[in-house]
Amino acid sequence: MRSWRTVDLVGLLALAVLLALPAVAPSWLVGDLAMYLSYALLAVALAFAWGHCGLLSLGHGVFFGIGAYAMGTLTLGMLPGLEAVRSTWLGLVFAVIASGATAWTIGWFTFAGRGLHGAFFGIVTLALAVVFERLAINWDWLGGLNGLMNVPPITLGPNGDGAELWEPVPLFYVMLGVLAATVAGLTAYQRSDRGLALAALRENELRARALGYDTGALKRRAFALSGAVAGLAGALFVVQFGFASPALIGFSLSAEALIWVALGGRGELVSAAVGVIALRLLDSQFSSSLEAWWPLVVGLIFMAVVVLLPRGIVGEAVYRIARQRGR
Amino acid sequence: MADGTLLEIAGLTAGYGGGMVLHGLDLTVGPGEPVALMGRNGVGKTTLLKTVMGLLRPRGGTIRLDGARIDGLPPFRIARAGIAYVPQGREVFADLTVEENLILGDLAAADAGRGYELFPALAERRREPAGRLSGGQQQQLAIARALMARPRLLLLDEPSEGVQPSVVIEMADALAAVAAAEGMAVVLVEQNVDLALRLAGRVVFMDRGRVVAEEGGDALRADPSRLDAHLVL
Amino acid sequence: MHLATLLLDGANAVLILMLVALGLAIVFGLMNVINLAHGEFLMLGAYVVLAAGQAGLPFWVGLALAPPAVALVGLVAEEVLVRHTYTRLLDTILATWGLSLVLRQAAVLLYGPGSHSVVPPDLGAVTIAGSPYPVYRLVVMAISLTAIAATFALFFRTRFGLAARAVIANRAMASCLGIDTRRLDRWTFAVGAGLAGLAGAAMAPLIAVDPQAGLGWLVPAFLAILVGGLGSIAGPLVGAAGIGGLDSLTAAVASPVWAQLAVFVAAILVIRLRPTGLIARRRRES
Repeated sequence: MRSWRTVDLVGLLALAVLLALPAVAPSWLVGDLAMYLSYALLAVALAFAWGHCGLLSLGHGVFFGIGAYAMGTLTLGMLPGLEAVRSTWLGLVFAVIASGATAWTIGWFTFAGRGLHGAFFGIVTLALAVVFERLAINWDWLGGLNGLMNVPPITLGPNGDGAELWEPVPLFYVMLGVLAATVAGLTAYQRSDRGLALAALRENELRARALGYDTGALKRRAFALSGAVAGLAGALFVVQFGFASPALIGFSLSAEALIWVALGGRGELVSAAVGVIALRLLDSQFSSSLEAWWPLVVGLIFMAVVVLLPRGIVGEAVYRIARQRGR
Repeated sequence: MADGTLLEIAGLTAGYGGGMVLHGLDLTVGPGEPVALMGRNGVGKTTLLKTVMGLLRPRGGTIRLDGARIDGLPPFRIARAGIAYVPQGREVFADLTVEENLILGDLAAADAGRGYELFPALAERRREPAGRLSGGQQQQLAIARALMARPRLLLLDEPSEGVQPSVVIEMADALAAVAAAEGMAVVLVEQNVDLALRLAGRVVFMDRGRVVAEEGGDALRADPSRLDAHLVL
Repeated sequence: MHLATLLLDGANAVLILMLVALGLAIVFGLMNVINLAHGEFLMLGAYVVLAAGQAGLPFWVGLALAPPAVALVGLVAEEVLVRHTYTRLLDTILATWGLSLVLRQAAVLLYGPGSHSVVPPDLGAVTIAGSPYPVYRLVVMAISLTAIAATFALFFRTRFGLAARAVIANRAMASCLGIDTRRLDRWTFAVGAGLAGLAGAAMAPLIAVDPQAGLGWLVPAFLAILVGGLGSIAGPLVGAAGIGGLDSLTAAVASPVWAQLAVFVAAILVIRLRPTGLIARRRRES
């Protein structure tokens, strides 16, 4: 009999719980969760880049934001020459390509030759987040500080027509399906030969290069993939939220994504996804009762986890169970 | 503790990561005693010096200096306890000047005069970056730097490596003079037999992480063939 | 705006950026720690001046108190947090990032999320090349220059600095010579924090003092040390001159947004063309 990896079992368990949830949870909670699932998609993208490939991005919100704005501009008919195109499906394609291409370009600048020291790559992405946020605030076409309002929900027809998807329960299942498929796909990729090459590169880039890998190209492709997934997350967020603001593209969401992934666990995509959903639920619980103390508490927990549990909270739990099971 | 012991190593086990290099090594060195450590490559000579200096943490056993435990202390405490170290490859600070290198040997020193007395050639190049010195002069600098703080025990790893034979002799004589005048003990790891015999009162042979034999320096100087017998183990 | 005023304001921004980048660079050079809370140390310096003013103390007392107060915060942060992550470079980023969140939130809790203004001491104005210029801004420049010179003197004229440079070059060997590297780390981190605190305190009357005040300095300072090159103390200064100069110039002729974009694009181009920075120097990995 084939024995399962602990992390896969945890993932399936989480999936089962989430699948059953709409049967018992109130519909407002299901709606909130549908939105958290788009954050989970962002966390998965970041965990892939950071945990698996060693590319610590302090500006992953940029790709999420680009995805959101891409979806918004297209479905609102704002793109010059393409005013008649309103398709959600093309919006998704546009979001994924725009964010993936941006990530690829950043990679082209920073991974060339010997490339930037891993830590300094993080600084460049942080700068990127600050610059993009300023840009979005000051770009009137994108709505400036107010952002894009009234972004339409998902429409099932070919060009913005047909049934709209805004009921919490179907939305939730769509989001869950996308997240589960993404996690499964990325996990398979991580365990493929190319994914293993990326992991080897994370551990020792010099050795990977000595073995004949073009490490710059590998990292560029991986980062583009991660950026594209983050863009997808942004696009799926904005069709639920109906509103794309500069806050999505900049520093604060990037910072939050980093905290989710660090607390959940960067080592495994499943840990990151579970972590973000748990944290968002806690957040909605405590941010009103604890007010300004809540971010302070989160910051302190974050520091403690960085020092004491580098695998993250969920990641550490998975690791311990796996060691017990011997798998 | 008897007056006859400065450094006392008992049952020392140490190594890198998972692999142990030293397997229960015992060695004592008396005050002012010059000891040469010989053995083939990979028997653990350098590992022993690094462990005494605190650069590697011992897994087992004890190291005492004047009866006080020093194993597990950080290197700077061991240095302040009176042990100086000249590593293989010298490790002078290439971008710092000769004078700065010497002062680093004893930050409390008023000036680097002691170093220049030992090797006057260094004085002429005091303002130059150490990286520009020849291999032999870098070795002199590394030794002078180690002696700045008047250590009671000097650990010297392969000082003759990459150094002209004439300079090696000069270094050995200068060292022997300081050791005799100040009662400084020396543990010398050396492949160069001439240098080892010129300096050492006692030669200790190592194999596979242990001390396997020792001979008096005079006996070896009288009959160098005994040396071969130990080294062809 | 008058040309002389423009140039002086630009010089002002460059000098402060140099001070901030210098603190970052010495902490990185010595300890290999990337301190993302450096901007918050600057922000704390500004709040110290604010708090001193609210307590009825003269401005100059606040200015004098800020560097040691922030250095003390740095000392505590090093002991409690940073030293536990020394061997994991990426984790130093995360730990100090967490610290920056906590410090920002602490400022929100103590002084609210809004911005405060600090009244500059009334030193009047002088006429430079035909246009009036506030004396206080000249004082800020003098403070920055003095602090930069003092930092250089500390690193190149004292035994503490000699020990620090030895640790930067070869940490293990420095330790073998009897240098207490732990103590040096602690004090270096405190000095770096103190420099940021001084920059924040001096700038307090010229900026909006709010919890986000540090962020705007952190990114340019990092770009400055990336562009200037690591492993030397002159690199960050050159980088800060380039980054700060370009920023002020573009902001004056276009707008602050374009300035930020121009700085980022220029920095990333330099990084692409010269990954080791403009003032490259060998660094020993040990």
